[in-house]
Amino acid sequence: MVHFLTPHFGKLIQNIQPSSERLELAETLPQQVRDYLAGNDEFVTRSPHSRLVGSYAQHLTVGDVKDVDFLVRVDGDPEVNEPTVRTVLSELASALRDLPEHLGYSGDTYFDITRNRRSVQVKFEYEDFYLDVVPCIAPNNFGDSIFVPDWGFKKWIESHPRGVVRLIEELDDKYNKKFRGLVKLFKHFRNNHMTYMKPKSYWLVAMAIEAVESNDIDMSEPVAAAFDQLLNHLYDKYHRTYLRTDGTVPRIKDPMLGHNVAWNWERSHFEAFMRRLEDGKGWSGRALDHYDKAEAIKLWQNVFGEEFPTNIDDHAKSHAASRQPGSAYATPTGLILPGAAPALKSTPVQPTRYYGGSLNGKK
Amino acid sequence: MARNRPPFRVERPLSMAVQELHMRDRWPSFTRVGNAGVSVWRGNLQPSEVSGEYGISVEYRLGVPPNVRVLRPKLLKTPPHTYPGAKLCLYSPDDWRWDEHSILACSIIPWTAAWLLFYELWLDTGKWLAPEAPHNENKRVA
Repeated sequence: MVHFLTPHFGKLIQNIQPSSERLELAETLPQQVRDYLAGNDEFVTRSPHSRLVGSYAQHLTVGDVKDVDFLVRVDGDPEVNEPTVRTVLSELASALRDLPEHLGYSGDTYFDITRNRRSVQVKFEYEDFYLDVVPCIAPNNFGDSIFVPDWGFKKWIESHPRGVVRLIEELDDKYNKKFRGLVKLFKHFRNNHMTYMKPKSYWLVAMAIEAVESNDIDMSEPVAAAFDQLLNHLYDKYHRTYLRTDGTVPRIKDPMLGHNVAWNWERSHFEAFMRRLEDGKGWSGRALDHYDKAEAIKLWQNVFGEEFPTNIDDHAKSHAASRQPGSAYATPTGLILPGAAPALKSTPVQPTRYYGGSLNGKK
Repeated sequence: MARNRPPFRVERPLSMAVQELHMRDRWPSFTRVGNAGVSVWRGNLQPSEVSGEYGISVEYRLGVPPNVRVLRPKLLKTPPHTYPGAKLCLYSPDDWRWDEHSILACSIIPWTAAWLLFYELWLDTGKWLAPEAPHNENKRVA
């Protein structure tokens, strides 16, 4: 018998969600910095000034929210490199130096401000939290392509982060809220198995989008099976490159603009990723085929670590208690929710007692 | 001369066409084949964000309690609250009776989606975590 362990996966996704404290931090600190920059005379931004991007904006954060990325809009012409990328990044770093005082911090111990290749990073030491502030030229506002500075290339690079956020939302709606869960599992798999040489989160998101859009993943299957298919798809796709001996790494297509986002992927890092994929797909395949539920759980724990629960009785009880007939609602695709979904035409599940058969599984 | 009207208005049963309108409105994946007397709706339901989709059929003969079956995937073990052939027992006749004014889209289908959720929880825990009524409670068959 195939064990999809669907409630276990529901609990796993709950386990890898960021804590409410970290989410609150991710809500409040960026807003303070955004407000500071919007009112700053030294570094002039253009309305609508800023926009959240990255994992947090995509609702794809797993584990701790360590960082939040946001764009600040400046005037300029990327074609003629005006203003120069180095000027913008330097001026932004300089403007942010007064941020600690503005936020009421004194001394240097709580803050670290670093200029990166494409952003200025503000590290809140005490909170162990980073903000990546990315200046951008957004000719048609944030909804369209924008240009971000690249210190190494000394030019403005085209990017479409809000388009990616929209695409993720569309895929999640199309696949009945399963897409984001799949990507979160993939990111958690990486975090669980790779401390060093990790592929970037954005690359994982791009890989997952490509895999799902290729129709090689059957998104009508339970998320356990979809995850197994994702690992197999990626391993097969990159296997030919993996066998090469000339140091080649695969291209990872930007979901919106098509360019290679993994241009700086090192061969040794790619090989490490392939070894983890090979291990992962071995465990997930055996877990799906295993006749013994306990053994299947152990194999999934190899994939996802201790966050994959052994026993879900308490979770099942609370999940069921919040979705009883008489109080639950069903969305047009059948999702059972604890209450009405304002954005959807959900239907109340009338009170009922399921009839006959067996009570608690006993005939 | 005006015809005498009956002292009360006789409500006509909900037609298949009206049932279909409700189904289209609330459950867009379901499609119908049949006629004014008997119809079968087939569609998909996914009870949670991590579940797979279940193929469901609802067979309805006008005025008669509908039969609901899980077409795919095959149900595992022998779940509670089923008749042979993967037919689901969604309500106790002690509590509620199907009549010709009942609306599939507002009763049978949401109960089916919830049944699938509790079935998945039952597979993992061995417990049916929703209200239930045993067959032998009143010796009647739905």
